[in-house]
Amino acid sequence: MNLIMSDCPLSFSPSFSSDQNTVIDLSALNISPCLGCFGCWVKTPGKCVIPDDAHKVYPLIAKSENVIYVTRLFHGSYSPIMKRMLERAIPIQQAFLHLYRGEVHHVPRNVVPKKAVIIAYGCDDVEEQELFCKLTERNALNMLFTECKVLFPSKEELEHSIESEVSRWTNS
Amino acid sequence: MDKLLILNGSPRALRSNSQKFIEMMTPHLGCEWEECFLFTQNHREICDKVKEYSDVLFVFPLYVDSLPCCVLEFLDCLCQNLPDSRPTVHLMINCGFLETEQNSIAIKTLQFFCKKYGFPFGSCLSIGSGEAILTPPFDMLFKLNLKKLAKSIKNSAPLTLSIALPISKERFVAESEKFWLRAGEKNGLTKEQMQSPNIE
Repeated sequence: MNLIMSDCPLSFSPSFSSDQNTVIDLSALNISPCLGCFGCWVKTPGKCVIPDDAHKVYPLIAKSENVIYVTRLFHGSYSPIMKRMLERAIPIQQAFLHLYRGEVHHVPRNVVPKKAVIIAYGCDDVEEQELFCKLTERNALNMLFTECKVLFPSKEELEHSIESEVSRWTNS
Repeated sequence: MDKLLILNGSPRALRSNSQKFIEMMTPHLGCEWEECFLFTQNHREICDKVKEYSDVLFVFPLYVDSLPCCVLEFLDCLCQNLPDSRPTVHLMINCGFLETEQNSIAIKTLQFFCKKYGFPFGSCLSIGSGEAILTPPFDMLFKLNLKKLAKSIKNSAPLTLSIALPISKERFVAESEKFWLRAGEKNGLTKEQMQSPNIE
C-alpha cells in the first residue's frame, strides 16, 4: 500500500490511483482540528470521536508501507493543513507508553513500518530547511519511519519531484 | 516587563494542563496580565492585542513533536500583522513524555520565528511527564520552577528551565499505564480494549 498525502491538488493523481496507490488531497477534505479530548485513547480506542473526513485518511497512514507527504514548508514546520491531519492521526497510537530506542513513546496500534519521503516545497531558506529536517527526525520515531528522505523543491519543481519519487516505487 | 499577554495554545483550552500551569504561575508574576486562547479566539484580534504588551508568554503542549496547529496558524497571522514594537516572547511547553528533550524542536521552531521576525526571545520552561509533574512530593520542585519562570519574566532576566519527574523511564512508563487505565476504566474500558490494534 502506497500513500501520497498532499496539502494541495496534484495533477497526476488520476493516473497514479489504483488498488495499491492512493493520493489524498487534504485541501479537498473536511478535517477539523484535534480537540485533545483523548477520546481515541480512552473512549473509542483507535477511532476519533469527530465525524469528518479524517477517518478516510489516518487508517491509510497506518497501513501504508510507502508514504510521500507533500507540504508547504511553513515556519520550519508542516503547513497547517498537513499538521492538522497529522494531529488527527493520533488514534493510530495507544495511550500507553513504551521505550523505543531508549526514549518514551506511545505504543502504536496496527501500524505498518514505512519508508517515508517528505517533500517540503516553496522555501529555500537553509536554516528553515534544517529545522524541518530535525522535526522529521523526531517524527520518524513516532511515525515508524524505517527510512525518511526530505526534499525541498520549489513550487514549480514540485510535481516533477513527486513523480521522481513515485517512479522509484514502481521501479523497485 | 510592563504587561504580559499569555497565549494558551492548547486545543483543550480551559480544561488543559497548560491552563493548570498558567493558573499556578500567574500569582507569582506581580504585574498586569491577560490570557487569550489560540484554539478558539480570533487570531487577528489577538495580533492587535500583542501590540499593547511588552511581553508575550506562549503556553502549549507538544503536538506531534512540534507546535499545535493553532499556534502555527497564529504565528502566520502574527507575521502578517507585526507590531511596530516587538514584545519579548517567552515559552512554557509541556509534553506527556519523560524526556524534556522531546520538546526541543518545538522550542527551536518558536525561537526561529522570533529571530526571523525580530522578536526578542526571553525565558523558556520545558516540562516533561505531563500532569504527573503535579504529583506530591515532586510538585514542590515544579512549583519552584514556575516561580522562577514568573520572576524571570517579571525582571526581564531570561532563564532556560526544564523540569520532569526525577524517576527512571521504566518507572514512568509503569506509572503512566496506571494513569491511563484509570482514565479508560471511567469509560468502562479494559486494558485489552484500550490496546486494540484496530484503527477506524
